[in-house]
Amino acid sequence: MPSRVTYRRFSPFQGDVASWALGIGLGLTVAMQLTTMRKSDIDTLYAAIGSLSRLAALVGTYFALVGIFMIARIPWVEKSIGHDRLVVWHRKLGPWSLYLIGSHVLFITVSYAGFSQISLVSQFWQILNDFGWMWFALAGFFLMIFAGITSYKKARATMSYETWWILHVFTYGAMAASFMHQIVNGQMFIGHPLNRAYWIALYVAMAFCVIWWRIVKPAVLSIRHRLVIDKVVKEGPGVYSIIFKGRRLRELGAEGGQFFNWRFNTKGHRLLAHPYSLSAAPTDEYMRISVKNLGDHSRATEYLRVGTKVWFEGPYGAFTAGRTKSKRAVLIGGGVGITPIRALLDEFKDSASVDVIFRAPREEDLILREELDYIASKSHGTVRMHYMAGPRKNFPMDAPFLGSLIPDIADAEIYICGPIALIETVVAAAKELGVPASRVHHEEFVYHAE
Amino acid sequence: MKKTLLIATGTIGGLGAVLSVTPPQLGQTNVIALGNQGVDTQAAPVQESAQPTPQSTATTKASTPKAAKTVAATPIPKQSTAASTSGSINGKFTGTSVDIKYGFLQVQITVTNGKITDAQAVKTPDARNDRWTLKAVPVLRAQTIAVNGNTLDNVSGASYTSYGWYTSLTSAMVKAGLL
Repeated sequence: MPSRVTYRRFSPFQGDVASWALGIGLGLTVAMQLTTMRKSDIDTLYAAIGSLSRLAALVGTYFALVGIFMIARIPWVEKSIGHDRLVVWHRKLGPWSLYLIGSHVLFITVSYAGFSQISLVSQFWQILNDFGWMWFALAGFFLMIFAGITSYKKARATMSYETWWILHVFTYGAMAASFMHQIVNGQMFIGHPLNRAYWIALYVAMAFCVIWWRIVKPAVLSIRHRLVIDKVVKEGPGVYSIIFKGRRLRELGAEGGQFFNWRFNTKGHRLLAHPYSLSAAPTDEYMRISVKNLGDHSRATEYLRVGTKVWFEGPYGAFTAGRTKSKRAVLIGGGVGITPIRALLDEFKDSASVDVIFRAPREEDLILREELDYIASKSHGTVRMHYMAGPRKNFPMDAPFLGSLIPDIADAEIYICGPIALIETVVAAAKELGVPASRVHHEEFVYHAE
Repeated sequence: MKKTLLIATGTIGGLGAVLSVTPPQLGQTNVIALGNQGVDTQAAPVQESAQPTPQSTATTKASTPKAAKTVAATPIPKQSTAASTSGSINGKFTGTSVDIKYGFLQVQITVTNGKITDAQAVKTPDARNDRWTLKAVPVLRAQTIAVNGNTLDNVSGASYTSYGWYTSLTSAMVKAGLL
């Protein structure tokens, strides 16, 4: 078997450094309050409630900042931790941020109302008017609540990606609107230039990361690489491949398994970028994605014209061949989730023994089948295809099923992309079969969107 | 798991490092939250106005021009001058009017034989925002008389008023020659 490793090795080191930095930041944030608190801040019940509410505000805001850093596409964090995991953490952290900030709003009012012995409502009204920038802070809080509610699983399911995205982007506005009320009124900031400097630095760093990595860099790359739609090909029911042509694409360093956010320069599509994985390893001139009619936007890809200018952000994601430690790989794709698997196969085919499992509800959903078969036939037996079209009960994808299909699965590196149900089943099966969690990599194609 | 551990050690490390340098002062009540840190930041303009006090002018006239410059430039001899004469200071001294975001605060002190015997807010923010000030002023007044100076505790929930009081009081004390 020829061994030609073309992909970059994956290293968790930078992710560990980032985690540690996150911890130090949290420590410094809590220290800001602890070092500026006096006896009068804890010696009465209402003072203690006020102090707790300030702590909640600090930690909640810190979590919100960290949440934004997580999805700011900082390259070394992306490469080391992986975009899907970052998004999962971002989603887990978000609600806590909202709960903590919400309790700050409530308990600071309780504390002041207790001091003044007036009703909560009139106290709330007075706080809004008596302190600087409070109306902005309230507006920011509402924006944050909207973003939170719309990201809640059940609410998220009722709206289009577009609506959700716009509401979610308002979180940046929320961060900006609530900033001044902290700096101007915050007990830990008044007369304390060092605390103020630290807090401002955090916000500046956040703004820099977002502006640089989510706006400036993608714009520069899009201009430099001049990507246009070269071809649109129908692959199966509702599935289209879009082939992009550009120049010097190798400089992007994209690998199979990664994705870009694509923004088509057509009427009605300029505002929103959409995440799609590459469905083949990129060449210096061409990149390809394969898209199913999922959202409002992907339905419209049918009408995309050849020659349309494309703006892109990326490459993102750590669903890459570089995470492999063994020469044995099992790639599992569910439905249109086969696209990054197909691209990964380009990376793996010359350096590892690969089994590809392709799950789909119907025969006609087995898209890209011809080229998958072609790769397998040219691989001298190192790539084996397993097509499984039909109802779930025929192909349970559980431990006995996978174990009998691929007896040496315990030695393999497993990559899964597909609907969440498939991922959960396979992850559980892999655990049962003795595959360590560090060797199971998965990407939910519905979620690399934030 | 490993990352959770890293985050936890980072948090404890960061917190511990800060607390070891600046330990929390929860046990103390009359530690100067504003007096300490306010001096080098917000009270800076007050120190500028500290130059032409009656005492230093008197010293300047008595000494040679060259010596006068040295005296004006170094605060230490000026303070000793003030200290030596403070026993004879009597009268009312009004501090600068300080912008506290929702109005102005101005403090007037009554000095008898070099001691602050009273402190009054001659100007306070009016209308909708005065509640915070009304709450804090009596506390600050009592503190000022008690400590006979400007080493005051920040009044919880009235940070602006505390800051304004401190700044105005400091300038009044400078005028009186107490600083």
